[in-house]
Amino acid sequence: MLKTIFGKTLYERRLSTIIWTLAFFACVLLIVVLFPTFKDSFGQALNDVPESLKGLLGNASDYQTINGYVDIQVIGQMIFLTLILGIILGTSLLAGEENSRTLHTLLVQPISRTRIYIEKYLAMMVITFVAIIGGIFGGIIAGAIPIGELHNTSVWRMLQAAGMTWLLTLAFATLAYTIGAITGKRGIAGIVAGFYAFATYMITTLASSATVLEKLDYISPFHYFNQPSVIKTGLDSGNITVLTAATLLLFLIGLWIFRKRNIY
Amino acid sequence: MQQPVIELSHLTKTYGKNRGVSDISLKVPEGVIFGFLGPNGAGKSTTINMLVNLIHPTSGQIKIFGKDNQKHGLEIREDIGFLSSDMPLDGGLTGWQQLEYFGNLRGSFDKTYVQELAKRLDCNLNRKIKTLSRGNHQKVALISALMHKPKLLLLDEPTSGLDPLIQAEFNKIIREHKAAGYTTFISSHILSEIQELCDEVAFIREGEIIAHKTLDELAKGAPKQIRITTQDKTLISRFKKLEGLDGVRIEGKRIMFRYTGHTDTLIKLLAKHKIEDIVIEESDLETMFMQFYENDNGAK
Repeated sequence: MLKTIFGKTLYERRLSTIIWTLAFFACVLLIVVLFPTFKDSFGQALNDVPESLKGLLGNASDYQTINGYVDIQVIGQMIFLTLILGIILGTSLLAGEENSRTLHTLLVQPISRTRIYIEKYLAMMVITFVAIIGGIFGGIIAGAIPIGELHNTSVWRMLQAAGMTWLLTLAFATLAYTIGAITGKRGIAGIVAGFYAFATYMITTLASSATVLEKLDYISPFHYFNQPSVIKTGLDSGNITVLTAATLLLFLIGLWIFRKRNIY
Repeated sequence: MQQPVIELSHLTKTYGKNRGVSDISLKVPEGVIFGFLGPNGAGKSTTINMLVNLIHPTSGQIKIFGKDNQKHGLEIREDIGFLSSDMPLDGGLTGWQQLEYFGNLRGSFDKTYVQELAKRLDCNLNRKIKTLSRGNHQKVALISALMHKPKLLLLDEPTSGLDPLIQAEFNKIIREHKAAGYTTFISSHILSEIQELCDEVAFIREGEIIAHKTLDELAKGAPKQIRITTQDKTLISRFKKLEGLDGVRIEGKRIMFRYTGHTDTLIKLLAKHKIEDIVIEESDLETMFMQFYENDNGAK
């Protein structure tokens, strides 16, 4: 594990990766096994909710199928936790090391900044992938089996939805990583990425009922996440392209500046 | 003429409106132990950080092993060992894991040599770095700087935290490094450390180099510290004719002064008087250092 920066990063994050994965798994498992209860009670209660709030809470009919239920309760809600993981990793792997000055010790070795930047980023991709796919997708499947709701047709869609969760998490993680690479300040990277996540989530959520936010919604990564629902309609290539392109652009901007700037 | 290992040409680094270093030019020959002296904030660490590409010069050029370090930094760092006074290491790794990791990144890890260094420095590499004392932490960092037998050692306040016995072993290792034909560049404000090790020194003050000399050159121009014990009151009046004498202080029977003239002239003069005791001391680096700084301040 200690042969590359990538391997060493995974090694030092092994415990936290396991904890995050198990936490996601346990959380999702609990939500999914509660499906029969929610199906009968909560679904009916939603009939009385105003239309404007259904963007947040979903329709009553969504709670009648495991797909609709997972879409709202797991994919729609777990994104907050996965973003926290992504932003924590994005701020700590590079800017965090610069703040603790262990990055300086690494940079005086005969290793290029490009290699450091890429290997740490790859480690971030792997950790978020393991935690999200292992934890969330694993939790859905493990929860669906005991309640007899595992259908072959929905498994693939659920994996796709977990994949989109990973892609959105990676977009915000990359934003934090890039700001950290540009500024060297972990705090700034965390505040900017966190604020952007909160603000754009609100914009996307309210855009359907406030026309003034419709145009702003296009700069929100949430606009390209699960709209339309991946579990219901499958992956949207346009959404994937926008999120991937934005993530790649951020990654390249961060790399370009990190290579050139002073490390104090 | 042999190519210098380090060559700084009109090197300047500014931080916005603040000075880092200003128009520094310096050549460090191969195979010497070079001391880079100055008080805190003088620009020592700024210079060293530019040598290892952590920060980039505002203007000027750095050549190491004859290569431009902005273009060939990666290649140059393969032959550099670096140590600073507060070199952060990965607390979650053991000393051995940390060194193995650096070795792997360099492409080679000489276990036998690392074990030998650890034994000489009395360093336990099996403990996690976060559990180590400052001195032991510094030993691991020192091994990381030495383990690939670098052609150039860059040491920024290297012995901070080391006990005297380990410092002596450290000095021995640096001398062996020199004996192998390699170069060491030590930045420090601890003058005794520099005096014991170095062949050449440069003094830096407020970002500018105010002197660059070999230790022999420094010793030649440096005043001797003279202390005479005598009851002869006439002796002091005879000193007025003596060239190269200054800083005279009289405390009871003792006369103390600095002397840069010929020792022979002084001894002949003293021989005509009744002297109870005489002590002649070479100036230490601290005296020379203070002299440079006082002169430079005076000039300004």
